[in-house]
Amino acid sequence: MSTALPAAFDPEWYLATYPDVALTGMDPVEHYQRFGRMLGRQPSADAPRSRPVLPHLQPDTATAKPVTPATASAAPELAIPRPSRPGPIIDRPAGFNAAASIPGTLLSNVTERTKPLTLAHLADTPQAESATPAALNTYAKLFGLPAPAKSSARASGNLTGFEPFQTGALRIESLWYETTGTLRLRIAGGEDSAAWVLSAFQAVPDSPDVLHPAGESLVLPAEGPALWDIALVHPMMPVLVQATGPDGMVQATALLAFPSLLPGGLHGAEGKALQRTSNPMDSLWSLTEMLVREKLGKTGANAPSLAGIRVSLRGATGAEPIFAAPTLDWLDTLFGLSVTPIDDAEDALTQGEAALRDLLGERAPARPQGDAGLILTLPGDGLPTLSALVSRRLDNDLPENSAAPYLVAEDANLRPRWMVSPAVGPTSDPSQPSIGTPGLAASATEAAALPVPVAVLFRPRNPPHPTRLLLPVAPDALAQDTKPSKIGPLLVVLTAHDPARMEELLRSVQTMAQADFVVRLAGVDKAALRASLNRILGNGGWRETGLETDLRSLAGEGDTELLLTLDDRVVLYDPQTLVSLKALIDRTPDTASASCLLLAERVVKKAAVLSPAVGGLFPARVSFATSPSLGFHEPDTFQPLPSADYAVVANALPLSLWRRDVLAALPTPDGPVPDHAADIHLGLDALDAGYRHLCSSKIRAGYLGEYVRRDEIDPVGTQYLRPALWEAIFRRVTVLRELF
Amino acid sequence: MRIVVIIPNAEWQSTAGVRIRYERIRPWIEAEGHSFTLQPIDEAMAASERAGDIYLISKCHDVRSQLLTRQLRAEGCAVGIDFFDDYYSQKQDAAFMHLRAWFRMMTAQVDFGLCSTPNMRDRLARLVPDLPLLVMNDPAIGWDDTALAEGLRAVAQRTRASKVLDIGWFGIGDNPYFSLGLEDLHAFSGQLLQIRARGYQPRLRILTNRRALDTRRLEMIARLPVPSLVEEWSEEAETALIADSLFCFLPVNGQEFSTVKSLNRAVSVLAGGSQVLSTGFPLYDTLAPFIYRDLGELLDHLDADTLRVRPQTLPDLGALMEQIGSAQVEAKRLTAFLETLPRPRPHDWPGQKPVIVLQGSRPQGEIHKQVQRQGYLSAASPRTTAKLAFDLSARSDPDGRFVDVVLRDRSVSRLAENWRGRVAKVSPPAGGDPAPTLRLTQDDLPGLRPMLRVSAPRRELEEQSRYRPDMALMAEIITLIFDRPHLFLSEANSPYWSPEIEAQRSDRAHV
Repeated sequence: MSTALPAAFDPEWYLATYPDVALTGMDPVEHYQRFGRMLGRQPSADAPRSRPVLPHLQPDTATAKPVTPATASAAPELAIPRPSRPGPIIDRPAGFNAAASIPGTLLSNVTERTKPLTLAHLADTPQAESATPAALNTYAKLFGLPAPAKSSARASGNLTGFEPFQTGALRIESLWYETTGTLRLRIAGGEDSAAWVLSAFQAVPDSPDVLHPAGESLVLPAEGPALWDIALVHPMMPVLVQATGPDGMVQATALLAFPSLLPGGLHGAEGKALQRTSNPMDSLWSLTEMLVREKLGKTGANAPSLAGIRVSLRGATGAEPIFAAPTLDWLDTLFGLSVTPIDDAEDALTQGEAALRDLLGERAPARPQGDAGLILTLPGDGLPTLSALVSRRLDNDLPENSAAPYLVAEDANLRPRWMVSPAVGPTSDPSQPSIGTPGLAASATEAAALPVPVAVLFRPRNPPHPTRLLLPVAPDALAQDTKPSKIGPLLVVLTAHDPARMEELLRSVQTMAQADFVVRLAGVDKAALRASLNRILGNGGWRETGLETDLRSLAGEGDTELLLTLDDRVVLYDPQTLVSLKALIDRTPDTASASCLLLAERVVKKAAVLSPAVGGLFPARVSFATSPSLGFHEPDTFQPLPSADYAVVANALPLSLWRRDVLAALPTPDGPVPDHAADIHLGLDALDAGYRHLCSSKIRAGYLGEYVRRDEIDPVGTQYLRPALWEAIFRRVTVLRELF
Repeated sequence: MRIVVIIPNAEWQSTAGVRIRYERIRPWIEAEGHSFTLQPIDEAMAASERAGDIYLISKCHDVRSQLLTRQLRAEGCAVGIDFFDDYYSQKQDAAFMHLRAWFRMMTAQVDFGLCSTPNMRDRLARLVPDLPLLVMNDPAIGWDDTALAEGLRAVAQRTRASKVLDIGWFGIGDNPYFSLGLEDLHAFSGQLLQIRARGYQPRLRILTNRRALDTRRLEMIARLPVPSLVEEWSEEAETALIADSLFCFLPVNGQEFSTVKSLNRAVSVLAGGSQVLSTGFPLYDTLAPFIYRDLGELLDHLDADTLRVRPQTLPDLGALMEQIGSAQVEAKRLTAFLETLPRPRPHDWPGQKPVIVLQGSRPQGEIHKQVQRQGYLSAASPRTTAKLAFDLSARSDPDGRFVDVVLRDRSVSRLAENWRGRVAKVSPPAGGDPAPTLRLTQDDLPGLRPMLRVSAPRRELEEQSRYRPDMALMAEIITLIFDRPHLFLSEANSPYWSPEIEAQRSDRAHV
């Protein structure tokens, strides 16, 4: 739908005339573009009275049949007491009558529109010679129903019958979820299809052979484009779209097998991530065709790869899409899959989690899990992708709980946000999906990366309440008498700028670790810094080193197990931070370094606003345009990885805990390494040596001042310009790709 | 018995919550010969004569309720808490640390607890197994049988005839800490589509608060799967909406906060002449015979004219309401419960020791003044910038060599005798009148270290790292110079917490 702003738009008049706009806090321009135009509001005092931009018919008065009013009696106007202020918060557009259907022409020679039809009945409708029954037959196969029509000799091989809707006057130019229950199409229209009628049909899962008319039919105008709303009876079931000529003969039928792939649908992120052509509609049709072929086994003789879906109930509330009755019914009817909880009956679940377990348990006996095949394990905010549901080619030798790529969409509006490809290998992180054959342990040989994302996770756009952002686990959740633990011995390489900040940081580190300090004096007033250090640590209790001194050589001089790089802009407000980082390093012997999510704080209108600053370095881009180049960046990791331990290319130096001997053994660089790339260089060298780096958003620390996220191309010069190395890097780190 | 409900302030008396929960049972309690009054907390603290012998703390979550409870129990009055929402069981949630601290402090002292649902009682029983608990249901208002029957009949007939199905949703649309309200409506709305498959045209009317209508929720409403109309909530509009709707949609998510909510909304719908469709967590199981969990079943019953709430079932509905929502029954159960409670033995509190309230991150002037009016001392911590007339505050040497405790005459007189002699009149470094000041050094406090002032502008990252150690040091200072006083922390914000001060208060007050 066009969001063009009329040239005469008067924001002040608009605000004064529609007082609810100010209540929303939105800019009047944005409000008009998003809501006001659709509601039929005036853009200015002088603008001509507009009609709501709702799809309606533009009958050709010369040829249109007489309108037959709907036979149902109109609902009486219901009297709702109104508040004293004039008008509701969101007013009805003029002439909006919610009791009646959207004005349209109901053609008397079409089957009575309110009654459902069977698939056979639909197939029996007279078909033009050009029409093929492919879509209807495919629909039947999807649900294991008898084929309603014989395949014609003209069958094109296209299972979903979309070709007539790809070109010419019937071309569907755009298709999206206008609401979660309405699809909106923009159709090219034209002379060739003038007075043709478009109809849509959809079934509910418990009776897939009974097709309900999905909203009103549309009589195509002589001149397009035309907008048409399909009022769904189910948010995800396949939709049949049929074009009928003025003579009542069906000209074409298409099957929208997986409408949730559309923008605004539950799988919209998958549609976006797998888009292969520049035209989204062409991409949708070809993706749908491919998925249908896979589903029907046209691509090989294997059984469906996925044998079951399990979900973690921890933290789940039941408001997540995976627990919605329409989703569960759809999974059961279309894929023969039920969802079972991974939590044992003996696990201590909350009342809400236990109720979900009961809900899933009531459904499970109806369709037991398959014996052979992969099991997909999801967090509560996840939903399987269509690619995973239909695939017959996933590796059945995947070990249990293998990490798998997934997508992230916004929970409120389903907008695609991220594709996350975790490091290949096993995962025990319940916040991320995993897949594998139950009971199959990881083998010595490296597993192959999964070719498709297996789940969509629905996450809020904004970070949580500041207290929860600051402390993902409340400190009073620990035993009251638990004293913060100390780690050590630890060599701390501190970069100091400000004496007061440095003193405070030193005191907090001393409560957390037995530490020796090597200090790089980066601040202007070095004398003041030295005086502070002497006061806190005592003369001789610390050592000064130059800013250029390489970390590798500093590490080589020490004899502690661990080395901490620290900047005095860091605030360690959680006394458990260093203990938690050490636990992260100790998890596997090949972990070279560990760090955590840093939160930055800025003041906006006298209020402190906390936001995620940095959570590790990631691969950003690969280019072969001039010479091969590899880029790295520090994205906002909070939405894709809000509570996870994940592998990164490198941990940022302001706060990173290292195995000292690993750092000491890294090769010395051939030449000077710029400061802004020092951590990337160390990170890549350690990856090259077979180690990995972990970052955790479950552990948090603060950063005073503004953290400028880096976006670096070839930060370490030509050393890593060997593309053969990149595959090894990408397999062992998390790759984040933005989908917006 | 003389029962007094302690409320936060006088304005609270006109709220809907007070009206539903307390005013409806008052006549029945008084009919039994007892008295039942509501009293703002500041009046209760200042009262020279007690208005009651049993006190119920209602929605007073600050330090005054701790102080008042001590006072009342020392005078032999029994004290209980009316628990409304569960801010206490999700121990990992940093947003409610100050409320959990209040809960721990209070439940260690009080004699009983009330709540409005069995779920809440079970949850409280797990947290405080030894605390006597009573479920006191929110009383429902009655209805006119004839008018209700006629309304039910008319709406059902109109729906079948017009094929337009009116759905209502009402309530608070937002919450700063939890996803509920309009977000639940949005999350669970997908199932409403099946109404179309049954040949009906759904339309949804929403009544909610203005504050909830931010851009995010407006977008959610715009994306709802059925046509919807939004209006501002009012009591009259809610009554009309219920009467006009075939059913009201009341989805409930399974987070701990939501699963202990009261039955009020469902009761209002049933008593107002509409069906209830509640999906998600089965919050309204107590009303099960009249609650729909499956929309398909509701539509079947609509077509067959056998809706759960219909003229023929009103007597059964009335009997159920009598059981769970009768003001007379609830009043009787309450008085019977209170009569069985043992009363605390009167004792001398606070005795000779001073009572000191250490103010936390953002002190409230009202609490500070009330504390002083009671004759207690109000102490500033380094974590506050409030400009109040504190009875003591601390001025820390930047190098941590000493701390100056700045006092007022009324606080000097409460010092332990051995410290009084060291108090001297000292002018503040920034100038001004000399004030009684006691300097403590590392000889007095081996763990002494600098306590930094709040930055300007305030930085939450710094405050989070400084709060606990500074409060612990202040507690140590106060305990030292006042010789183990009764020390309370007044903190109304999360995630600020002092386990050291809480440990001092963990002695049970039951005698």
